[in-house]
Amino acid sequence: MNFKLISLMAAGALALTACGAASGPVTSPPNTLTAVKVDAVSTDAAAAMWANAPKTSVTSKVPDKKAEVGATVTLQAVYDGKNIAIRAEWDDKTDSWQRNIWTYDGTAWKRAGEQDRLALAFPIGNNAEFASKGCGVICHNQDADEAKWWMGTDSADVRVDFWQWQGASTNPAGYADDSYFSAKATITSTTGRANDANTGGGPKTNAAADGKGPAFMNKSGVDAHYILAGEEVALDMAKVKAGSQIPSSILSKYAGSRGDITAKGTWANGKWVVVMVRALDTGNKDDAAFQPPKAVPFGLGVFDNSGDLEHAVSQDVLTLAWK
Amino acid sequence: MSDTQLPALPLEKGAWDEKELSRRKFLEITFWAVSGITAVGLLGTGARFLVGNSLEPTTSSWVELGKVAELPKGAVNRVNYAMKAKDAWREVTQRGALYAFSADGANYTVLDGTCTHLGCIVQWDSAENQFRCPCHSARFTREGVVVDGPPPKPLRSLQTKVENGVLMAQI
Amino acid sequence: MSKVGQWIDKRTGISGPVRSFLNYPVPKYVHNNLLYTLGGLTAISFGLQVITGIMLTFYFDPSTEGAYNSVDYITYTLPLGWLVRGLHHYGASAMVILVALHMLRTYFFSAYKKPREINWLTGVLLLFLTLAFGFTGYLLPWDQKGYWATRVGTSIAGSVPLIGATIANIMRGGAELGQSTLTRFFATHVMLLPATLALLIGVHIFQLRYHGMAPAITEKAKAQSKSFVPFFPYWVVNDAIAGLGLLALLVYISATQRAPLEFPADPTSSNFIPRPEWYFLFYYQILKYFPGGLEPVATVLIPLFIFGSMILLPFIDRGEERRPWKKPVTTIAAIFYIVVIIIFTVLAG
Repeated sequence: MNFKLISLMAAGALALTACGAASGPVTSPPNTLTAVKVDAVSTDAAAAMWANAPKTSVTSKVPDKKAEVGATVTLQAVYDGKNIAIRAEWDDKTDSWQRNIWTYDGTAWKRAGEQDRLALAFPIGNNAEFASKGCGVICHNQDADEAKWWMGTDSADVRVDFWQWQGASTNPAGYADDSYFSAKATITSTTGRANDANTGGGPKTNAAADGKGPAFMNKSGVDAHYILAGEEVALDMAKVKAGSQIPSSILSKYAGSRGDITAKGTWANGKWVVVMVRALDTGNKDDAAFQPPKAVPFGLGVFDNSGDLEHAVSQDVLTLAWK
Repeated sequence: MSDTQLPALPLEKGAWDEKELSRRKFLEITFWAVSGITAVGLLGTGARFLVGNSLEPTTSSWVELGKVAELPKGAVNRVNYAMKAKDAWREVTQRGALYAFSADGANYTVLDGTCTHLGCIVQWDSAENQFRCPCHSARFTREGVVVDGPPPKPLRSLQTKVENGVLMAQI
Repeated sequence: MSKVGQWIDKRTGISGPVRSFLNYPVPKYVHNNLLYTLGGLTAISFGLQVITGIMLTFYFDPSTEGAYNSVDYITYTLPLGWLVRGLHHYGASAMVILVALHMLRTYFFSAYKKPREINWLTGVLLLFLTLAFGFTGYLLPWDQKGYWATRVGTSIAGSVPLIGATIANIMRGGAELGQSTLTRFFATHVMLLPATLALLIGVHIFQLRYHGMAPAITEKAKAQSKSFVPFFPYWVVNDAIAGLGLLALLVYISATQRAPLEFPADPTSSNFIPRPEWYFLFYYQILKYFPGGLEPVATVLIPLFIFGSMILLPFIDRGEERRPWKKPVTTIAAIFYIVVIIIFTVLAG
């Protein structure tokens, strides 16, 4: 009789173990990005580690009155003991690298231009509203005048971590800009966004003393798409003709919290593929800490050669889950 | 109880005190009477304590929903409000979801988005021109009248007023 | 008895009661039947809930502001927090299952008949209290599923005719779910219900000891009804193995599937679909078939019928026959209940 009891339980235990062990390909429910555990993550978009990571498609729309449909971003995520890597792929007909570029019209320089970006927003700590409604809760768009719209939270205690990969400003230096949203610093502030702390590095403005043109150019030539710190040489007007374009920033990665997201993006055949890697827990107060298997809500924004407002955003709240 | 015979005590122990025993019935009756009254008092006090303020009618207050100029006419707008409220001993920011509609920009219908069936928040389905409750697929008209599903009452309509160009509702 | 034992016994007089409790004669037909471990297992699962529950109260914050963060802390940060909370969460489901199985065993063995009616009635009350435990505990993390399930649950109570609004307001501590709701659910779950359940279990077990096991049903069992083994160690070993098995199972489940914690409660979210715990799903589904004016049928009559039939059972079925295959009415009635519950649970899921 004792024997019957024990053998019954052993059979049950075996059945359970079999159930648990037999797991097929990982699937992900809608609006959920399931991160799969791998041995080591990297910024390599073609690495084998992505093979078992389920794909999640996120549709997007611009949140202004016109509500244009934006790109559909396909996301995948993997993590190891220390870091998480998020891979994003979306269609974009052009590689918009001319962010605020200096263009010579024959007589004078003018600065203009936007860039492609991808942004992810994660609440820092538990945030009930963000978790149920998504990043729309940090968008203050009640004003009839769109110029007065701003992003941020209503209390200094509530913060949202913001990762912004910028195709022209950060991608060449291999990072994504790390900032965060909180309440407006002062009554007259126009935004609740603040940059993460940094201990050096970052882009330097490429402008002459009078501010009317670039001071430097890339040593490789006038039409380089970007200038990394160390590649700059003094501007040689002999090489400049009408239509020449020179980047208005000399790029380098930030040191410290602002530069703790490593990124690598490649544009080819009408598609951007971007991989962002960050430590699961950076230890910084201005960053969201990930504690697998705790699910994290997040929002996504994709910018096609545009500035702040014209970003297309995810419609439903997204969830980062772990496997 | 005092009718039952007390068992005889062992000889070496002693015996029941006969003089005291004559008062046995009186003492028992007094004990039960006092205990009964005390129990009723304690239970009554306890019940009143536990009920607390839960049966008090809720106080209503006016809450600002937004500038009239920013609420497009002819469309059902979901307005979220936030106001400081007292939740028992806590000061909390009470949030809620209301739906505001106006055909002419002057007269507003503001509905409480809480479904009258079991308390879920309804969604506005602009394609069908109806409110839909995600819990049991109840449907309400734009004015909150039940057209389908289990809710027993229409959506609660709130008193509204416009003050200084700001739409307010009494929740 | 050892010298120490004698010293203690002279001063406490405890050896008599302890001996009689431990040497209680268990008939062999009980000892040979695994189904009889269900009662002990139910008590063991309650004991596990009490122990893990007390441990959790060392870290739980019953305020609307802190509840979620404290449960988050227990689940993801506190060393072994995931284990204690997991045992408590999955242990709750295990307790409901065990109570139901134990009830079914006593039902089919007709152990509710005279003179054991009070034992059955305390058992029905224990079932009701176990469900109350589940209902009150579900809200405590103050996450989306707990909040909305309680919102719906209190609304259901509120739909009872005449007294519904008062009942719902007292349950909630007001007109809406809020801080008052959380503290009264917490006090009920952690103070009132455990004390009541412990007391009732004491009565239940005392009744069992007083009347002894219900008579054997099958011929094979009857043949073993005159032969006994002492409760300790024979029956205690059975219970212990079963209990360890239960514990091992719960630890395994807790380790592989962390106890769930959804996102924090948002009273204004319009796309979260409320769902109660799985053992209430069948009732939740049945409610859907009684819209509008018919609602009181589902909120009043059906629970009244279910509990009423359980309470009146020993007084309705007074015959001498105990064998389930010779009692088609009660046997089919039970199978009907089970099938209905299973079907509606599946439909809800």
